[in-house]
This record gives sequence, structure tokens and C-alpha cells, in this order.
Amino acid sequence: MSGALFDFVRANAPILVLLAPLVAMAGAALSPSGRGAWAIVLLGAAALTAAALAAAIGYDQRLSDPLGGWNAPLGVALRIDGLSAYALVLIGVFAMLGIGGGLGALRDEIDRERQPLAAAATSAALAGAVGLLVAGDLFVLFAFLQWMWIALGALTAMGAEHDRRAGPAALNVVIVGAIGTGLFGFGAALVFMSTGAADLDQVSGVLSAAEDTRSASAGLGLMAAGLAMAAGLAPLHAWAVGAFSRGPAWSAVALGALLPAAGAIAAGRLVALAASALAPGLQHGLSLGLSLLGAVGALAASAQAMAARDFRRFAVYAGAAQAGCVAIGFSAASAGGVSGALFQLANQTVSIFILYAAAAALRSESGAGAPMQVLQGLGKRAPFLSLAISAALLSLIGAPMTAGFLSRWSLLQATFEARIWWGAAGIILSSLASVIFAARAFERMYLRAPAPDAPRPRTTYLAPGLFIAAVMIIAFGFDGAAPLHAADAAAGSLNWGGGR
Amino acid sequence: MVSLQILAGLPYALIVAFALIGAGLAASAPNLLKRIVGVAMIWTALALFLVASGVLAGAEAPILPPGQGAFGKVFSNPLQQSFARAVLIAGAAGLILALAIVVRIREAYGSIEGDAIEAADRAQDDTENEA
Repeated sequence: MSGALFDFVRANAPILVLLAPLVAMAGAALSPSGRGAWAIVLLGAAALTAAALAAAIGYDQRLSDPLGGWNAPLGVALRIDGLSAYALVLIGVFAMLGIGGGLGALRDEIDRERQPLAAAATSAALAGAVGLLVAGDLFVLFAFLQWMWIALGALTAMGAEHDRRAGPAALNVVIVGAIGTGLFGFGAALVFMSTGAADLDQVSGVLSAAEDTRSASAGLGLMAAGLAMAAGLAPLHAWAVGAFSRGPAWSAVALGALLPAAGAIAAGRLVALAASALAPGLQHGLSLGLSLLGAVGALAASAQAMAARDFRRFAVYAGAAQAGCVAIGFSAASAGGVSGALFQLANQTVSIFILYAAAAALRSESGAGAPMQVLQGLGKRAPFLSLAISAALLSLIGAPMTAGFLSRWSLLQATFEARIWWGAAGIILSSLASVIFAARAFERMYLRAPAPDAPRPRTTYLAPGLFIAAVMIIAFGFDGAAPLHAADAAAGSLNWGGGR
Repeated sequence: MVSLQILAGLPYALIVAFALIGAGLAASAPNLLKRIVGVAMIWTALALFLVASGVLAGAEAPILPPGQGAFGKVFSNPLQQSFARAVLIAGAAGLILALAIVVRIREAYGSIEGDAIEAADRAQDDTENEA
């Protein structure tokens, strides 16, 4: 990229990251063929990644774009700070890998005439996730949240031709999303009523000067709860089970790993804002509550993963267990904890992406289900695919020499420093539980004989994404300096207030 | 003074109660259409909540009649009303999609009772996992 173009992209990154998937959405919807729509959406994800990288490289200041030149409170602004730059790069990269690898699944599972619409809905959901990260205004955030849920619901419903179970799953996505967005809306209304500001910067300014911030903090808490639903934190992950295990494998591989990551980061930002406004005693209570929620969620989801009989469902539960650990990291309310949480979130995204991509490679002709039997003897049938799955599972456990080890380690360090014993116990216990559920998968893959009629995994398009993700896990496991540094920089842009 | 404060809070309490009834319906009603009605109640309550927070006693709607100035008049806050409009639009989009999906579910399952559909799905899961 030449210097002038780079500067232009960098200066306009907040609007470009949003426009890329939105324009791709429109182009894909108008495209006559599924393959053409897929290429357009992939191009949109690539443009999003390029703009996010331009914003993130040599990050030195927050980028702000008051739309139409109207500053708050008259207008709304889009912003990219260190945290959203980090999240946008993560989301952009996995959107590229997932959409790129999903073409086979898209063509198998969705009716020919609906393929362009499915690609468009995917791009729309991606735009919603980006909107959660760049919106600088409470009500714009609200609109993007509902937008994301509607797009995901429509996409899930398109799987109903292939497997009717996608219909009820899609309805569940729309209803759960509407409840979560409603919760978020009440929270936003409370914050607006008690601060008189809808712009997040102004809210933060009013809160830091205000005497009594309890109602605004309650509002921020409600908003964070609404976003935690999108993050798939354990008691609130039922929608993901439906959307990503009964919906089309295409949506799981293209969006399954990145939508929860966007929700978690947007929720974490609001929790940090609430924590910075609270008195120290209440701050401590918030930390305790969040760490308990994370620990309970991590353990409950791990137990579900142990009992899962469907491979895609297994991936959803494993992701929900990791989201619990991320919440624990945020509860440490320190730069170290947030940085650990962000690194853990990136690892979770990589590992869950591999699991969804493997499930898409092992998809069946007849329906959306991928029973655990598909793993039977995979070590012999498809050695490279099973190696990628093994790397993902080891990273989820936090085994040494994988990226998951480093992130669990930094999370543990932060919880010990903050004396959040619940959180530390939750991280260690969920790691032990992951050993058990991963062992079940290993046993199936390497110790059982393959079924004689087992179909060959269809990895034609998925192979590059699987390879890149598996290499990331191993490479960052040996030298985690780069992602740790990026997570530190991102965590530094959050203001926890006070001395914490 | 205290009683006035309670009175001022009364509309909000009613609205929140309405929203909670809606949330209960949306989360647990057996009939899919009732769940959607629950969602509609939550969003309607949210719009009411926003509008209520912008109303002033004796204020006019925030529209300037042609040829008149705003001097000496008291207006309700238009910002919350525009938020409420956004809430209504986003809510309507979700409701339409949900209703469309219910039509397709009825075609595929012959029922819109959540229990029956869940049982059919579980049966299909079981046959798949045992195959």
C-alpha cells in the first residue's frame, strides 16, 4: 500500500471497517450465483481486515469519525481505540479464513437460489459484529446488536431446507437476541436518563465527575448482560447451540468463532466503564460477581462438553467454557487480567474455528448433525485434519507448547494478583475438565478403528484456514511475544479508573 | 415529597413490570406465537420507557409550527422520541422475521407448540447419534 493510500485508509478506518462488509452484503445479495456472492463477501472480509490492520499497525491514537462532521451530542461517532483495533483484526482474519473455507458447505447445504442471500446475511452479521466494536454511541450499539441477531437468525433459518431443525433454532436466535437487545435497551435508557449523554465518551466523562453513579452503573451492567448473551457466556449460550449445531455448517465456520468474540469484547468495555465509575467497595463486588459467573459458566459448559454427543455441539460448549475464563480475566479488573482475557479470547477464537471447520469438513449429506462418531478413526483416515483438531483441543486445555498455555498462565497470574480465588479455581478446574472432554475426542480419533463406510472429509476449501489456524496455535505457543504484546496494548486502552 | 417521588416512579414501575411479563412469556411460553408476543411486549415497554423519560408536565410535542418561534415554550425532549422510533423499527424487523420463521416451522413440523417441536428434534438427534 502506498503511503497516501495507507494514510487515507488509516484516517477513515472507523467507517471503512463497517462499509466493507455492508457493501459486500449488498453486492452479494445482487449477485446471480452463489460462488460470485461468496467471492464478494470474501473480498469484503479482506477489505475489513486491511482497514483494521491499517488502524492497528503502529497504533498511537484513537481514531474517531463523527459521521457527517456532527459531533456528539448532535451526531454519532464511530471510534477505533486499541481494544477495538485488536478485536477488529482478530475478527477480520477469522472472517476471511472462515468465509474462504466455507464455500463447499455453502453450496452443499443451501438451496442454489438462496446461496447469494445466505452469503449476504453472513456479511450482514459480520457488519453487526464490527458495529458492536466501533459504535461510539449507546443507541447505535443497540441498533447493531439487533442487526447482528436478525442477520444470524435469517442465515440460520436458510438451513431449514437441508435440515428442518434449523427452523426452531433460528427462531430461538431471533427471540433470545430480542430479549438480550431489549435488556441492553433498558440499560441504555437508564444510562441516558442518569447521565444525559448517549455518547460513550461523554457518559464516561459525566460518570467520572458524578457523585452518585449507581443507576448509571446498573444500566451499564444491564447493557453488558445483553452483550454477554452474544458472547455465549455459559448460562446464556443456548442460542449458539441451536445456531451453530443445527443451523448450516456454513454459518458455524464463517461466524461461529467470531460473533462471540465481538460480543465478549463489547461487553468487557462496558464492564470496565461501569467499574471505573463505581466506589471501590462496589468495584470489588462487581469483580467478585463477574468471576463467580465466569467460574460457574466455565464449569457448567465444560460438563456439557463432556456429555456432548454431537461434534458441533461439543465445539459450542467448549467455546462457552472458554468465554467463562475470559469473564474471569475481565473480573481481575487490571491491565494484566484484561490482557490475559484478550489473549485467551484470541486463542478461543482460533481453537473454536478449527473445531467448526473440522465439523464442516465432516458434514453429512443428509442433515446438519455431526455425531461424535464422525471422529472415529480420523487419525488414520485424515491425519492432517486430526492433527489440527488435536492442536485446537490441546490449546483449549492449556497444554504447554500451545498458545492456550500462555494465555491461561497470564490469566492465572492476574487472578492471583487480584486475589480472586474463585476465578483462579474456575480456570484450573475448567482446564482439568477440558482434559476429560478432549480425551474423549482423542480416544475416538486415535484409538478406534475407522468405520468401513465412513465418508472422506471434504477439506478442499477448508484446508488453508485449518493449516493457518493450527500453525498459529503452535507458533504462538513457542513464542507468544507478538500476541501478548498486542493484547497488552489493547488492554492499556481501557480505563479501569482509580488505582486498580 | 417522598410520596411525589413514588408517584413519579410509578409509570416506570408499571412499564418495567410489563416488560418482565413479556420476558417471562418470551422465555418460557409453550406456544411459539406467544413467545413472539412476549418479545413484542418487551420492545413496546422499552419504547414507552424511553418516551416516558423525555416527557415534561405541560410540555408540547417538539414540533415548531410554521411561522412561530420556540421562545417561551416548553417542549418534551425529542431525543428519546427518536430513540423510541429506532426501537420500534428494529423491533418490527425482528418480529417480522420471527413470524416468517414460525410459518416455515408450521410447514415443516405441522405444529407451533414448542414442546412437540423439541420432542421431534430430540428424536431426530437420537436416531442420528445411534446410526
